[in-house]
Amino acid sequence: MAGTGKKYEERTLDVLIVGGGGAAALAALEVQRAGLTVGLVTKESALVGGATIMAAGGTCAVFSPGDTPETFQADILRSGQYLNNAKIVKRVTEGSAGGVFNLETHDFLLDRRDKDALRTINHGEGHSYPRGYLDRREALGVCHALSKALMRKEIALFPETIVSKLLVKENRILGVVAMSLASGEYRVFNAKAVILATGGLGAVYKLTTNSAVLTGDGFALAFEAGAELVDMEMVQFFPIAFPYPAVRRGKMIGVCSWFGPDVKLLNGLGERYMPKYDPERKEMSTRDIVSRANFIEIMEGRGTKNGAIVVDPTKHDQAKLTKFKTSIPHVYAMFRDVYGKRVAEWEEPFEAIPSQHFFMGGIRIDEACRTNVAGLYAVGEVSGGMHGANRLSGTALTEIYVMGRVAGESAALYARGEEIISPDTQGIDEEIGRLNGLFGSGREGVRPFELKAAVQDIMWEGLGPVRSGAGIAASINALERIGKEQIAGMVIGSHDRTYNRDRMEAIEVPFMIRTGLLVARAALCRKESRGSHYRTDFPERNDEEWLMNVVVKKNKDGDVGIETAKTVQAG
Amino acid sequence: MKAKCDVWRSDPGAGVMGNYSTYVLDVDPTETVLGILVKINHELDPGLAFRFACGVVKCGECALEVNGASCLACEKAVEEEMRIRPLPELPIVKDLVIDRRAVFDRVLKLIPQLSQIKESTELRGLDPDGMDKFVRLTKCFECLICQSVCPLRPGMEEEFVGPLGLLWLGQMSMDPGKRPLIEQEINASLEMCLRCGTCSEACPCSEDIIGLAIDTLEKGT
Repeated sequence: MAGTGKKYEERTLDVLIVGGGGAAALAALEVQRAGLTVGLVTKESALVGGATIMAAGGTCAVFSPGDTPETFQADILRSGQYLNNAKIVKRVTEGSAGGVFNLETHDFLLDRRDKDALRTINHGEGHSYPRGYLDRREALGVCHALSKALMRKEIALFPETIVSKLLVKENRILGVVAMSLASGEYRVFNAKAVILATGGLGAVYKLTTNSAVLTGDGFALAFEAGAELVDMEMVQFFPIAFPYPAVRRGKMIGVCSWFGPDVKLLNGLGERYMPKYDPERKEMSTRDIVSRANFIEIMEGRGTKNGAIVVDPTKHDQAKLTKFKTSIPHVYAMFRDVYGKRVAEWEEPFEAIPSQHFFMGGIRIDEACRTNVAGLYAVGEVSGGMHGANRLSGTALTEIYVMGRVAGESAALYARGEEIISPDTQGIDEEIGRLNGLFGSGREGVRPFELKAAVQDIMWEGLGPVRSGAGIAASINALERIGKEQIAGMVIGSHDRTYNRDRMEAIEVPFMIRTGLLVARAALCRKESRGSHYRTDFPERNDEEWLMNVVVKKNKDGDVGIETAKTVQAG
Repeated sequence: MKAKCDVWRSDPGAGVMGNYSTYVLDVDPTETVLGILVKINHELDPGLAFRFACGVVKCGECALEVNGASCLACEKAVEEEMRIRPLPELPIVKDLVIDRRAVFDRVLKLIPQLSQIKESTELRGLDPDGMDKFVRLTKCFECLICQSVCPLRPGMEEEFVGPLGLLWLGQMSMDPGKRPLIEQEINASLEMCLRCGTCSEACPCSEDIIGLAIDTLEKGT
């Protein structure tokens, strides 16, 4: 800080939470309830945003008569093709209804019919029972109820602040180094425990339904700190998203079934191609198969001149259109703005593209959100294990409503028995030196957004819905080349300290490369196709050799170490 | 098409008073104002400060003013000539970025009960109409457009809770156990509100939730 002789502001807390979505907020509230001091650092300005605020689908839980946590578990494991950590699945399913109803303790009301029943419980794809709670506010109502709870409980909040490094000594967390976007100042947080709740990695891909802030920071931070990561090859894609304008590109429209059984997908040549990929179910196939088909048609040059496929919903049931308008109103409003009135009434076909949607892999945790680093916890999309090789619809919010509280409880229990240990100033000085280097003084060179775009292109082409050994290897080379050669030449466009987004993006670029490399290395390791991971050189599922998890971790040389591990059983 | 954008620039922390920067650029006519700001930042002026997150009309972070009307930048369609300013009458961090937390804190200070009263689960006792009303009252984006357009300047002064405060009071009053504890704040706020409807008109929500909150507070149910 100028004038004070000090390079950074310091703050000491029992537990620090990194992330700005629902999991982070629920964890923070739980730590405070346990009577400990807690702070929350988020890149966004909205106190509860992240991917949670964008969630459009339902929240699945054991609500229906006859349904049991065991049945729900079986459905999740089937969808995850048995790579899931069954202990985590057990905890989430058993706590599912309780996790949803617990939201009402924050001066909030679920979208109810009356005091005994929720208004809408949907029967979603892949579920044995109706489980999907739909809310007319989507997840917006929950986000704002939680953000009000954070404010009025006076939890220390550090919005628009990016964590650049976890401080670790002898496999134990001591705190973090961060930078405030608003002031440009560095901050050091000393903490007994740190919970990573930084969400997924959508923005590592060129096309994603996620927001631009989800650059995979948590995976890279955890890797550098020595944490293990699991199932990093498992990336979920969504079949139908906006191809334009730039600001909407990749954002979610829907899945084929929302348009009804008569919807047709056509390529740029006017051919209906789904019968080729799934002769039986055609357009009604699962979302990963449809995403893959859309990707292949475009990549092999059969897309429209805008590089898209065509969705033809003109033959439809009026009730489906009404449901589309009312159940996802914010998507419908954008749909109407982008394509115009006739398409909005499904009277004409429209162009669409597939897009990255969710990440099943992540930091390896146990059913109490603990990692292999003492005091480091992970929860939500940044953690791996719950979803295995593919996520069952409507379980992302369920996971955070249950595990958010578990993470808070678990970290508080640990922190209660620990002392604060001040990190070495040398490590902090080195990190601040690295950041000052990233923000450099050069005026000519490549700006962070250009490097981000380069990484996003590589990931989409090599680690998208269709992969091959050769393609993945080429992606690894390309990512490593950017990491080695181009980061040193990166310049930030403006040298203002305050509210300079280039400085934040300069910190994100190495995170994106690291996270991308972890995805690539795991994908190269898994020589089969399973769930969302599809390789043209190994197109079949191979239970004999690959019914196991791929685990990555930093080895002694600082490189990516890869191992396979037995899946975790519930027993 | 070509678009000409006059964008308001200021940096109060650095003592830089406001003026307009003018940018002329080629734009996709289906693009939104947010898309234009990103393009300006990438191609013409890396120093331009603006805020956004979700990009899909959900988080409310990108609210600003275009040609005199408040809007969400990620929703507003591009026009050939645009004068882009931060939301009016709110504290500015830099250029188009406002200090959101300061605005929330002013409301929290005027309604201390929001933090003092214990949270409850009594909302579950509402009849189905009450439940429906609570859901509608909690559809807010928290974009702060309402606080910025209110002629009583609730974003800058701690006298009136503003439309956002009325909405929060409206939500809280739905809980039968809480209503009596905030009666004084409700009465004071209703007395100050001009009922001019400026906030309701500017609100990007699909229905008039501030009007519904005022109505709820006036009827006392």
